[in-house]
Amino acid sequence: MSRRKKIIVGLVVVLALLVLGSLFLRFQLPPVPIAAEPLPGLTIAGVPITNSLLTMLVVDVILVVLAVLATRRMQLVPSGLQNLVEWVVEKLYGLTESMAGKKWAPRFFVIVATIFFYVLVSNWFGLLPGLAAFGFCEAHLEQPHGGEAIEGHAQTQLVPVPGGARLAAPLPAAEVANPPLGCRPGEVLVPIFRSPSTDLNNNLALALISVVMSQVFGVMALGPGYFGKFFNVKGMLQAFRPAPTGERRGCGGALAVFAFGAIQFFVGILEAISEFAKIISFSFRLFGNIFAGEVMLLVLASLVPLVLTLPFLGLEVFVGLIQAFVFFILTLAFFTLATASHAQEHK
Amino acid sequence: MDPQTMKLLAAGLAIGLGAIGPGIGIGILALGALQAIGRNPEASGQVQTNMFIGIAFAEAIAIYALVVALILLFVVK
Repeated sequence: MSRRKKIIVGLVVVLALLVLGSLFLRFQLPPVPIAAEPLPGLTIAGVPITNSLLTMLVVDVILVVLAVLATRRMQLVPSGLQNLVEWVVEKLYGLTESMAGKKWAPRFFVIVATIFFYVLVSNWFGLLPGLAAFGFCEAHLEQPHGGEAIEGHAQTQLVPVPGGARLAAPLPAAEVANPPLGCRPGEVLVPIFRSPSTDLNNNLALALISVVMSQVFGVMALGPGYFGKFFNVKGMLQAFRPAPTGERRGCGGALAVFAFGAIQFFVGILEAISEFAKIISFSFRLFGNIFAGEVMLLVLASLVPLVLTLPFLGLEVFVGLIQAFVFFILTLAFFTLATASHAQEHK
Repeated sequence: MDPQTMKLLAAGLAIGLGAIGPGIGIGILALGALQAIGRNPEASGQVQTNMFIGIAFAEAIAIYALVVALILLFVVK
């Protein structure tokens, strides 16, 4: 078949899919809840189990099964799954060692590699086609479940609490009237599975682990002096001591040294604030990328079924990998920065 | 204009305007990294790692805009 014919056949197939999709596979955009939905009737000690929590457990099981399968029959010359996993782990370890050095690499690696694999699998889990079709039918509520009390809660707290409000965007009445398959009119589908990365609570937990562990590693490497980075009074105290040459400073000289020390103190405060900013940027980066990706797929599928979705599904697979890698490399970079001694830089 | 319209407008503007700066920043970052790789292909691994870290910092600014947009959409009544 010549090149020209191939192009024509391809175009015909795309057009046929376009017509078929727009005739038979049209669906209206479902509401996009930003917080994970609690599964009906499932609570443990008063805490409702959300679909993202359930999916997190599934992801954990997948990771454990993968690890067991990959290491069940260990061979000196690996093949198949063992080969793949060994290659990935070796690459990651090489990167860790090149950034953190021989001493700290083994300690960092257990945490950053766990984060990488967990985030990767949970990003990709949300992209499995057809997974969102399984769910419970539930009456659509524009207002959150608990009425006023929960609304006030959502206002004061930035992070959507599990079991709190299902903060769905208000919908025109026509869209609610057209129910998903198997549901009565006015009902929406609450999916059983939802990628953990699209739940802010999960990402916040990962971010907290990353930031808290970087403080722990900092203290392990530098002792309590690590916190001197944030409350830097050393420079200001320098003004009251004699200069390194031994002679006493004049009034102007001492003032200049003190002013420089004050600048260092404020830089230290900024450093402390940036530790908290890290938590926000870590959690919202993952949440924003994965959640926005899934919403984009939904919108595209509702606009042009079949044809437009496939290339963007490939894009989202790539984005999921990149986000897992970014989480990995940033955590590693912050660990390395925390363990690097400040005094050594000035020598 | 009623409050609902203003809210939607504000959320759209927040993320739209907030993404301009990081977009330019990431473009400059990738430019620098690609030039560095072009001149010294052996250092591409090191350059790529640092590029990703830089991009993540630039992207964080856009994420703050995203947070503001989400708060406007879902938290502000």
